[in-house]
Amino acid sequence: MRREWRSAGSARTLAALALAAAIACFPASAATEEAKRGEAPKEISSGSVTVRLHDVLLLDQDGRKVRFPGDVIGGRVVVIDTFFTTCGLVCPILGAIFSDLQEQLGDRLDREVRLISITVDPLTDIPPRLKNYAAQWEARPGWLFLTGEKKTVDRVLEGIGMYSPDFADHPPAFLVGDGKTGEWTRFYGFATPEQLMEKVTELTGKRAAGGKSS
Amino acid sequence: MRDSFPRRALCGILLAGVLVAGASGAGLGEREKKGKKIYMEGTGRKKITAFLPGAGIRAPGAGFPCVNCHLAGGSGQLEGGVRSADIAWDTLTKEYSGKRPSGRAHPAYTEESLRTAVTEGLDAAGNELNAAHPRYEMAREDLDDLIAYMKVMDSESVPGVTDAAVRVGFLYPAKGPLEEGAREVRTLLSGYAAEANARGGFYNRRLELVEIPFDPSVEGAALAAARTAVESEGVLCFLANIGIPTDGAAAAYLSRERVPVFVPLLSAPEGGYGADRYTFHVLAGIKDQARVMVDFLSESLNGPANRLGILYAKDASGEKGAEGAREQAEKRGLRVAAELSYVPGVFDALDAVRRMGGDRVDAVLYFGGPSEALAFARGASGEKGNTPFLAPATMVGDALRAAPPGFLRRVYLAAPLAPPDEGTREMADLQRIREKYSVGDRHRSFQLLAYAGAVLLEEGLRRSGKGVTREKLVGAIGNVWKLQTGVTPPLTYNANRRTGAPGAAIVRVDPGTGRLVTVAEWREPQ
Repeated sequence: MRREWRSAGSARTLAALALAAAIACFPASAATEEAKRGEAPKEISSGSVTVRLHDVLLLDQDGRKVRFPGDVIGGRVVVIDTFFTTCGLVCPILGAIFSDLQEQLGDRLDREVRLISITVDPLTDIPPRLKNYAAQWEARPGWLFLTGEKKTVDRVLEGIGMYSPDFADHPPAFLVGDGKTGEWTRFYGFATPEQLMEKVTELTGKRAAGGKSS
Repeated sequence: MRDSFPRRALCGILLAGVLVAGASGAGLGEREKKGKKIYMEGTGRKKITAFLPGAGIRAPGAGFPCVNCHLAGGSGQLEGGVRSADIAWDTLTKEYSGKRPSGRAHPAYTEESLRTAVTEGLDAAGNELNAAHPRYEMAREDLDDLIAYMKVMDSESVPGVTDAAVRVGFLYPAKGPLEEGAREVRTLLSGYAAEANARGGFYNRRLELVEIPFDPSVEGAALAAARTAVESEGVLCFLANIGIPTDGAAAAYLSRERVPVFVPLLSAPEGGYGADRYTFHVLAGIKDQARVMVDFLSESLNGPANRLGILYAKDASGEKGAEGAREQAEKRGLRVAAELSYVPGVFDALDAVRRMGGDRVDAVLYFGGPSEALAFARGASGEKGNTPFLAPATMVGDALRAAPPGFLRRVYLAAPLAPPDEGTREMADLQRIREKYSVGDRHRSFQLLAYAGAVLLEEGLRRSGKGVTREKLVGAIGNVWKLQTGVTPPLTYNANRRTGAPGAAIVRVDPGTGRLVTVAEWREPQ
């Protein structure tokens, strides 16, 4: 089922690969429709932010103790979102966005880039529940689902500016950052996979450039 | 891709015609049933796709069914700063010129404008819906089914609930070894219902017990009884079903139909995460009992028992026990020094004694049947040593009473149902019902559990309020914390927990009097 999921981006890539021609694919038609309605394309607010990555122990979907940020982020580029497994409204959309990113990242996932989903309801979201949730999204290694002691998870969320006292009211937001350089950007609202991917590419690109010059 | 949609929709219009069936009393018509499936599961006659404008992604409709956000009945909710609208038909079609709760102003919806909302994400005034609202691509037929259902969903009748009564099913074997216990429970439950009704019932509804017997020697009879209760008798939920194995077809059917079941007797599976969401147990499964046994060993014997032996039958219960013992041993810093499993019925007692007897281990944890336990006891009785032998009482039963006295001194049993405090109001109530309705008293554990189930159901009905539904009932019980039933340890349930009192007491048999003596009070594993 999930394999049928096609984002604008991957549909575009596929089309380009297969035909190397202009195919009437999704983003084009969507854009056309929006243009027809005479509406401005939607804006998503993003900006660079300062985050505090508290050094704590969390649990991943396999129940393994992992050190945040050491084991979890390390020196990688990461995209972080928050969710809870019993959420019906916002989280499935966030999940779909990460699922799409996972597809776009291909074998760069885990090696270079990680997707990190942190639960905002650690009391309910115990590792086996996360494992089941991860399986629903066909998450591959490199897409981590994290939980832990409530106090610890709250501290992590606070540090990255994604804590809500009422977890059911957590706003949709993403953080894209580089574990090495400490450069972080927050996307507030539903960013598209393309917007997130663009940031990821920018960060990994900078590294490549930096690597050459040094 | 999307360009092709209007053409498909047009075909749909031609094909679907004007087939919109009205709601036929209590039940849903074919059309509404199909619409309900779309609403609940996101699947229709044809493929349904959800386009998520916020993310620019297309996904199968099954990932984004209406009910996720708008909830059953269409009431809507607030989550993640997004308010999903109340989409009950009455609300949608209300004439109102001001701003709606969505912050937008629009005229009343018509069927046509509702179709546009679902497929194009525009409200009745042409305003864009929230970016979190998917735009659905679906066949016109499916869309019509969905709208047919939306028209009736807020007045859809709840199974087993009328203005006058709440109907609760009770499945029981009318023959076989469980017959007598079932008769006692049936008499107790009907007495309980009579008493509850004399007190005024629940929200002015009578509690009606729908008793469905089945013949346990006939294959499929339990499933047929469950079907009858759900499909013909119309029950809200079940209470204290007897002889319905957790892994059987009847239990699977009830789970699939999302019918709540309270305290099924003689089935204590592992009730942690992964357990059936709709079934509520009271007593610990073998795994949790094993964990309490290890906790007891690590604290209560002379010094920590460093070398554990695990002896278990190769069946579901035996393996669960061994798993729980291993996990807890690791947690408590104990070492599993010997492990031996056997196929039930094929047990070499002497070999087992050779490996676990004497002082080769500091304690034996046993998870198997009664006859093998007794064989081990006889085999080990000639040996010196005082190695404790621990087993769940629910697995070995009374068998070890026949063990040689020298061995019996070493036996500790885990008992998931601690002897109740006779002084509680509920115990007095139970005793009164027992006498008043001539319940009998041969199956006290059954009675205690059935009564605890009734207390739990009563709590659920009160918490769910007048508008009780199956989901509300399950949600309400899923938040019960330390409910005092007076006849069992306090019950607690949550999203990951479907066993209310997953603990055990440790008891032993006094070799002199033959009575059970509690050596460690009932507690949950740490």
